[in-house]
Amino acid sequence: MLFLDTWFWLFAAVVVPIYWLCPRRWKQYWLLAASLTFQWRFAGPAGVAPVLVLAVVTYAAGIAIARGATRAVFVAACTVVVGALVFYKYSAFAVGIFASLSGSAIDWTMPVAPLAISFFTFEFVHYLYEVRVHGREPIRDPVHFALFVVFFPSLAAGPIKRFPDFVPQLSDLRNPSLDETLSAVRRIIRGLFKKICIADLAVELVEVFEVVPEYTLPVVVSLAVLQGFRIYYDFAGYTDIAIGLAQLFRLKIPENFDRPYFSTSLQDFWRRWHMSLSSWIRDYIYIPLGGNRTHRIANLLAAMVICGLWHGAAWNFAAWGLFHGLGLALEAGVRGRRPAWFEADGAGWTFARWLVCYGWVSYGWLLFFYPLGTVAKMTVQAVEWCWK
Amino acid sequence: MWRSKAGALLLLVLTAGEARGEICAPPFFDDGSRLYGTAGTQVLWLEPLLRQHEVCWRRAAREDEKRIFVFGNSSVLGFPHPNDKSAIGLVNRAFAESDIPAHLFNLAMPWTYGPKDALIIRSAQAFRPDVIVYSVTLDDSYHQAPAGFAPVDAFFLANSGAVDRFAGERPPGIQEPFGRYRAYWADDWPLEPAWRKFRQLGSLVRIGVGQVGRRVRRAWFPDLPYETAPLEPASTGYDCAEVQRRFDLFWRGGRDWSLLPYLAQLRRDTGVEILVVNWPVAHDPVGDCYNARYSARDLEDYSLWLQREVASRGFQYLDLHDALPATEFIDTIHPALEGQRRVALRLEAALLDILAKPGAR
Repeated sequence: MLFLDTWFWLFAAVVVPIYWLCPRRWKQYWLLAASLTFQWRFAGPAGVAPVLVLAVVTYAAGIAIARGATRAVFVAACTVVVGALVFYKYSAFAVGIFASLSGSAIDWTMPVAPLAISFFTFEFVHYLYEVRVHGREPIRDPVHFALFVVFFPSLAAGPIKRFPDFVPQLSDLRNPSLDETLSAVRRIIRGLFKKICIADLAVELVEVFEVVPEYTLPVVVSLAVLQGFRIYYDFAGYTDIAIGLAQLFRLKIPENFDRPYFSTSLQDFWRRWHMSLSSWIRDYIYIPLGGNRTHRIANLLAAMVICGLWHGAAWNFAAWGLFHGLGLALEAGVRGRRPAWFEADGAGWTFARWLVCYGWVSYGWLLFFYPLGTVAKMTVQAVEWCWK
Repeated sequence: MWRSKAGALLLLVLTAGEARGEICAPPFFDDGSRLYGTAGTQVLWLEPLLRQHEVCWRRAAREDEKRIFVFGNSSVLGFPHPNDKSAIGLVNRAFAESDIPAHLFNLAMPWTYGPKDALIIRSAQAFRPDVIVYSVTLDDSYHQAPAGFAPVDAFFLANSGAVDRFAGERPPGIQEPFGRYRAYWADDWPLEPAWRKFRQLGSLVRIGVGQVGRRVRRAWFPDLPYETAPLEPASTGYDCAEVQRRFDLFWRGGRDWSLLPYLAQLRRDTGVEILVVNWPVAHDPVGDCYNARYSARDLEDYSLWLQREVASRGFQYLDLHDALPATEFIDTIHPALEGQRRVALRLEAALLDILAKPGAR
C-alpha cells in the first residue's frame, strides 16, 4: 500500500501545508506538481510515459468529439486506451491461453504495467463515453484534465472518479475549514486503523489457516470469512485515506463502500461494494450491452466476468466475476417468483437472506484469492469432512 | 471514555520502564517457554517478550525451586526444534522426572552476538535468577556495534532505551560496544524510540492474534508438525581461504570486550551462580578450517582463552565445543535432535553439580 510508505507521509506533510499557503490561483498548479511528483516517484519514467500518451490521446479525442468528430474518433480513442490496458495487463494471460491451446511454448515477457493503469483506463473510457454519448462538455483546461487524471489521493487505487463531479471543484479551490480538516484527519486515521489494525490482523490469521493438512469445513469457513475481512478492511481503509486526503484539499471524490456485508441480496451487495467500480461497470458495460432490456442474463454474466478480470489477469478472477454474475442472474430470475415467505419482513427471514448473501459473497472470496484447483480441493474436502 | 482509557494504557506501555516482573502478558512463543518464535518474528522489544515468557508468570512447583536462566544464540534456543525437544526442555523434563527442585528458563535468542546476550541478561535480572547459564561460541564474539547484521541492529534499535540505560551503568567488559550504540543514536529524532516501540507494539498485537489462530488450529489439528523457519543443511564444500578472510575482517581486533567481567559483577552484586558453556559447533573440516565459520586454530585459541578467563573468575565451566560429531548437527551450529539429547545430558550433570553445592543460592 503506497499510503503506508514513509516517503508518502513526508510528501503529504510538505504538500498539504504548502497547498494551504498557496494563493488560490496557484493551488491547482501546486496540486498538479505534487500529483506528478507522486506518480513519478511510484511509477517511474516507464510508468509515466504511457499514461501521458493515453492522457494526450483522450484529451485530444474529447475536444475533437465535442467539435463534431465522427464516431470513428471515439472508437479509435477507446481502442487505444483499452488496448493499452489489455497489452499491459492481459497480454501475458492471453499468450498463456494461446500457448496452452496451441501446445506451443511462447517466450513472452510480461510488460511492466504503469501504476494504476486499470483506474486510468476506466476514467478515460468514462470521459470519452460521457462526451460522445451523453454530449457532456469536455474538459478544455489541460491543467484540469491533468488533475483529473493524476490527482494523487485517488491515483493508485481509486475511487474511480467521474469528471462531471470532480472537475467543477477545480475551478474554485479553497482551503478546508477547521471542521473539514479535522473530519479529513479523522477519516485518514480511520482508514489507517482499518488497514493496520483489522486487515493486517486478518492476513496474519489467513496465513495461519492456510497451513493445514486438510481443508475441513471450519478451516474453509474461517478462510472465507477472514479473506472477506481482509479485502474489505484493506480496500475500505485505503479508500478512507484517499477520501480524507482529498478533503484536505477540499475536494470530494466518490465513496466506495457502504457497509457491504450487511447486504441481504447480491444486488444490494453490489450497490454497496466498490461502488465507484460497480457503477462504472453498470453504466459503461452492462447498460451499453443492453442492460435489462435484452439478453439480461448474458449481459449480467459478461459484465461481471469483465469486472472480475479487471481485478487481475487470471482464471480465478474471471471465475469470481462469473460466480457473482450467476448469483445476480439467479436473483434476477427468481425475483417476483419467490414465495411470499421469502419476501417476509421478519427479522428471522431478513437474517436468512443476509446469511445466504454473506455465504455467497464469502465463498466468492475463496475464488478471488486462490487458484481454481485449490478452491475445488477446499470445497471437496469441506464436503467430505461434513459427511464424515 | 474508552478512548482515554486506551490512550492511558498505551501511554503506560510506551513509557514503561524495565520489566519488574509484576505484570505478565499472555504467552506467545511455545506457550511462553521461549523469548522468540522459531518461525521468526518482528518483535524484538525485550519488555513484552520477557513479560510473555514463563520467567514472568511461572509459579514454582516447590518453594525451594531454583531458577536457572539460560542465555545464548539460536542453537541454545533449540532452533529448529520445539522447546520440549531442545536441550533445555530435555533437562527440564529430566529434573521434573527426578524431582530435582530446579527449572531452566530458555532466554536464548537467535543471532550470535555477546552484547545482545548481555542486554537480555541485564533485562532478565528483574525476574530473579539463581543460576545463569551463559552459552557462548566463538561466533558470539564478533564485533558488530553499532551496525553489523541487520536483525541484530534491529534488536538493539528496538531496545534502544534499555541499551542507553545499560551503557549509562558502564557495565565492565562491555562498555565499548554499548558506548558505540549510545553514541550512534545520540543524534536520533527525540520521538524515534517511542515510534519504534509503537511499531513493535503493533507487531506484538499481530503476533498475538496469530498465536490465537495457531491455538485454534492446533485444537483442530493436534498432529500438525511443529512450525519453524526453514533451515538449510550444512554445506560440505566451502573455501577455507574465504572463511579466514571473512573471520579476520569481522574479528576487528579480537577480544577487546567480553561479557565475563559483567557476569562477575552480577555474581558479586546478587550472589547468582554462573555457568559458562562453550557451546558445541559442528566439525566440518576443509584444509585448516574447523568449519565454514573459522579455522581450527582460531577455535582452539578461543576455547583456551575462554577456559582461562572463566577459571580466573571462579565460574563453573562446561566445554562442549567439540562434544558432538558433525552428524549430530543440522548445519554448522544447530544440533539435531540426537545432539540436543547429548547436550542435555552434559548440561544436566553440570547443573546438578552446581545445585549440589551448599552455597547455591
